Amino acid sequence: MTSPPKIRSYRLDPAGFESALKARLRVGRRWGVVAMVGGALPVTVLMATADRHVLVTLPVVVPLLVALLAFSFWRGMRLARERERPEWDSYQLTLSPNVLRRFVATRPSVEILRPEVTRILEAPGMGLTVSAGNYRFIFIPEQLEGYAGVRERLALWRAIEPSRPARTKLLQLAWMLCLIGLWLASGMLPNIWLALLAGAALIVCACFSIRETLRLESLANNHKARVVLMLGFFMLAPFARAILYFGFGMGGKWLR
Amino acid sequence: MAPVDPAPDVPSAEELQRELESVRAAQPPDPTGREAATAQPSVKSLVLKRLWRVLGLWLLLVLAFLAIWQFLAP
Repeated sequence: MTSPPKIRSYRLDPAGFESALKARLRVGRRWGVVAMVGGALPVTVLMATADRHVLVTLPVVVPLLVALLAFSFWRGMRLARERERPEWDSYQLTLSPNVLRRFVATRPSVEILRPEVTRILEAPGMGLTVSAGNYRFIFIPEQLEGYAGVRERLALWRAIEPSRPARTKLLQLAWMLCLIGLWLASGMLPNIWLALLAGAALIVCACFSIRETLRLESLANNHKARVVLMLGFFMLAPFARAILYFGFGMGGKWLR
Repeated sequence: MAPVDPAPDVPSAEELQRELESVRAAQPPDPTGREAATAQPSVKSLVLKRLWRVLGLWLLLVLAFLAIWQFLAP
């Protein structure tokens, strides 16, 4: 007769919430600034090339954008604290010799069997990500009580590799800028056919993003619905352009 | 030196299933007393419920563009 497997449950350190949140948001802010500068600079240069009067508006527009960014950081911090505290408090990781299970209230539980593990990545200062394919993963923050023991046990499942968060963030940023660029192009390109072509590319890219989001197993349905609706809103832009152009003769003269 | 992948001694599918059920049973109750997300409505129903807001906002923006265009047109 076989003995029952050794099962142990772990929770997150309640005192570690603030520091983990601040560390995560600090990285998010850094990339937010990069996205803002990377997105706003080419648009400003393009507009200034078309009309030099745009430069006169910069002393007003730049402080306005900085204020908007500061407000979004402050609001992001508040919302993240409200939403993530219950998730932090309810986080439970259960580990047996061949099963890893993560429970978080309001999210689907994720289970990974030892033979299913395809990758274990470690980000210093953040934690471990145990993946089973592209759509199922469990994140284990460093603030887990007994983190070192869990890490040691998981290292026996598969070799732990260092993660490259900068590369992932860069890819996410490039994808986001691509979507925003196509969205702007579908609304602002003076040539209607080029604008509609950009719109078609936007629909294809947004559909791909929706498909990938729906496949993620660890996301709550509520969150998935929000992403689908946001991308759906983006996808309506080419239809608006076509209606305004063909129905009401509204052209893209503002960029000529 | 490249990390060495430990050789796994993989148990059978039945053993894994039994272990998975033991892990599920061993899960301590959630101290926050919240419901697990398994009881959540589907993505489709959530999207359909909020779709009118997105379409309404889109229509509003189209109408706003039209109004501005009419106002600015010579």
